[in-house]
Amino acid sequence: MTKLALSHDILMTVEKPARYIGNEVNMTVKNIDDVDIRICMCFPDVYEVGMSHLGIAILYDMFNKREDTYCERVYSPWPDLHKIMKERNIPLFSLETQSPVKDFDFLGMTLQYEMCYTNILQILDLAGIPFYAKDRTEDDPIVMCGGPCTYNVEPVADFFDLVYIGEGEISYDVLLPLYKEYKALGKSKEEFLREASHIEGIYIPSLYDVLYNEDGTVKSIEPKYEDIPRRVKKTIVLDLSNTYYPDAPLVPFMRPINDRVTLEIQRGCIRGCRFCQAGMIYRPNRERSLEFLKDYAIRMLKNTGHEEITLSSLSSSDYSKLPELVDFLIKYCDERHINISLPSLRIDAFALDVMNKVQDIKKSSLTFAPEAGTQLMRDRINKGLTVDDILSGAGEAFRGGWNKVKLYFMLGQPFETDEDVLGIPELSELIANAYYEIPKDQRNGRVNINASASFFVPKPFTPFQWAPMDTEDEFRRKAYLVNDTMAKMHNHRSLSFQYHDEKTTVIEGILARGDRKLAKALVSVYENGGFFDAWTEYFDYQKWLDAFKEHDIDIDFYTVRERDLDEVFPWDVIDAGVDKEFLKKEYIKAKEGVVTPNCREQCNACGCLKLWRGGICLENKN
Amino acid sequence: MLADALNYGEGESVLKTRIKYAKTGPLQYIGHLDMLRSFQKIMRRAEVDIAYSNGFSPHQISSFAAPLGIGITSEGEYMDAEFNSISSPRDMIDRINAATNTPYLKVLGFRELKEGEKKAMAAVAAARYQISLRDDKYNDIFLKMKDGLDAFLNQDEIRIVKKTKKSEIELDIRPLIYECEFSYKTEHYEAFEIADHILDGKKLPDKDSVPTFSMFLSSGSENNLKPEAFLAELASFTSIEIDPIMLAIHRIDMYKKDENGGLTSL
Repeated sequence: MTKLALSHDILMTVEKPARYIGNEVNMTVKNIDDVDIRICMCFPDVYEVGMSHLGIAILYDMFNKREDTYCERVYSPWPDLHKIMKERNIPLFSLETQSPVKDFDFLGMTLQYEMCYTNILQILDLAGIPFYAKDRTEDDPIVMCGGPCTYNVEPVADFFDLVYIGEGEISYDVLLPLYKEYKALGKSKEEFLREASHIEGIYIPSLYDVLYNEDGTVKSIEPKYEDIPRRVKKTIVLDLSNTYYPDAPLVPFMRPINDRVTLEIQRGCIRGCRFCQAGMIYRPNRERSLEFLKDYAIRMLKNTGHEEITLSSLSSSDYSKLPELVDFLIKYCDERHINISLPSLRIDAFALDVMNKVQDIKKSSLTFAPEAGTQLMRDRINKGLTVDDILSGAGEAFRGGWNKVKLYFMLGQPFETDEDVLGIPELSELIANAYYEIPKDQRNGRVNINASASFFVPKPFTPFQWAPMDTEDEFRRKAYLVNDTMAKMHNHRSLSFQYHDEKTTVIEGILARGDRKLAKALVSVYENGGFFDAWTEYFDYQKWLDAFKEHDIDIDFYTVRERDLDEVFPWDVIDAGVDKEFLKKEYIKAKEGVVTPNCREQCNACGCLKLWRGGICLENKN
Repeated sequence: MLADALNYGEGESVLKTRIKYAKTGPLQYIGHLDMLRSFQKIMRRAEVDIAYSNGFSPHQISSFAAPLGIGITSEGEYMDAEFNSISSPRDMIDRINAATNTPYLKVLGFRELKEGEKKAMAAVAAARYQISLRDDKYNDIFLKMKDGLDAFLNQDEIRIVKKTKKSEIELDIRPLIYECEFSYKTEHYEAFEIADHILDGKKLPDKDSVPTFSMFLSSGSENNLKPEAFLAELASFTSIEIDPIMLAIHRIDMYKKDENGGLTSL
């Protein structure tokens, strides 16, 4: 038995010791003496969150298929254990072999949301690895990262030796043999990173100088040597039906956030909503084949024993073989008492029919994501959903017995007026009216309409990357306006409204479009005890304000400033496939309230077709 | 398909069974509720013909005897499960053991319940434990406690104050202690070692002998005496302070009252 890194008394003291003992079902066991490369994959948040992440599951499976590599895992120790580890000098350890993270060749983190940035520092601190890449020695692991936040990794770029841009299935099969070769030859980390920078999708932040203008904006990003690419192009998998996918993912003993089989049916999205970063950076839309998905669904259910399967994608309704897939799953799962969950379905006759089969109508709710309250605003953000779509979908559902509706909105999107804000209670009221128009004996008690709003953060590589963000006060004002108006509606007893924390949004806004000047502030926040900022109970706004003040960082520069159309962005060093010119056009069209057709209707020349010949881009080529 | 191969019962009625298992090593830190969920997944992986409840979220029909506390190992856990069809006990055990996917959780026994037999949860009346020390630096403590053991057990009554959520009640625990002895015993074995030994007659590996208190205590919904509570009383009787964190507690088995008023294994 592998000796656990934590002693019995510690495991009996901390909350949920199951987070730290490994030994999960389907865990890969290897002998570290039999491999050349040791990789520790990290999701910098608590175990239950990290264990639910598909990306790491794919990479874990892919790395461990290599005979020369052993991939293990680590997650952020919860603050209770963090304190004990600091007091007793216990080094951060991997779950599989329960051995120090510092002894690995690579420490790879996935960056899924900005609010986990302080947890990057926690991981490095507990592992005994210097925060800044420049301070590390040959004895430290190569610290790398991937995931959506790496499309603007600049605020944390100084903490990483290597950044992987794009889908992980592609370049590790080049990177890892290179590492092995350099290690065997006794070459330095610096030599390895220099050579790695030539591999597709590999960005080495230390090999670039960022020059600034006097006003604080970026002047240019200069490669330090001639052989370093000016821009790093993301990698994508062109044939998603012929690639790595885990058929026996890990099954934790304690309940993870996502306690089910996740079947990723496609990547990318044809819709082109202008606020949505995922819809831009994961282009082009590529589907997995029906055969692939059926095969994996069966194998994954058998190998995990999960009692639920979910389809994962940005917009499941757009998957071209959805009816066939759903029919198959319903038949297979029904015989075996397995539940099916279908997120991100557009509510129409097909969806209602499927939901009727797989859910308990009494308990389930209809979900609509209008994202904005008026048609003009929905046109500005290119969300192709009309009031008629919503009312006809809801009406049909109400007649079928549903009486709960969830509505997702965003407040503070570019060009928003108070009229648009007021559209949120008005749309909620219209849906309630549609319910009460149904004769009393044909409906199911009172309707329950739950609207929720998040505050909009402009993200890199979207048409709104130039847009100013609302101030904290403005967010609050708009939320109160919705709330107060909601209370005055005729159907107010059927309506409810919730909104996100505006302070967290401000920090997210700074980090999302930030630059390398922010790294010092992040270190200050962490050193003053700030981490687990994605958790409301641990997020401490004042610590952030203090850190920005300490390092002369002007919050408004990053958040409320409207960027000049010709401004050089910190993330211009990355080539995400979509052209800046395309995004500019989209921004201008948003201002004018003009919609852009989706990729299936028409190619809008976003730039992807030039780079890759696959997915929706080819489907359209006629 | 799997039902065809396994179906040897003909009627529609379900088969009530009792499964005995061992849970050791790192899995001692997995809580009771997580074990319940994990068993549901194990049964699915094993592709056995377990019975489900009706409704939109069907769940397997199973229940467990006395929950095992976090940090305690056991080779005497029980769950009751209902099946639509079963094969031989040995085949059922092998299927489930192949599906636990861990050496630290293994089924040791599988039998059909007799007509009218009480559920494990309701039937449990006593349990046997072995308590040793997590570190031999504490050995002196056990040796001192051992010296006071006879005098402790010779008391007519042992009154303790039991704290409940609402009140404190005084309780005599002497009648709840059926046996307790001190000896040097081999450290407990891991689940897979016990399973290999019981099921296939494999030799148990050599292990060190360590100072151990073995005890047989009243258990169940009424008159439950926890082994660590008992040991704490013995310690305080011998004027010694112990911290439960020093202890390695291992449940050996659980018992029910039989027709003759005796106690037999569940």
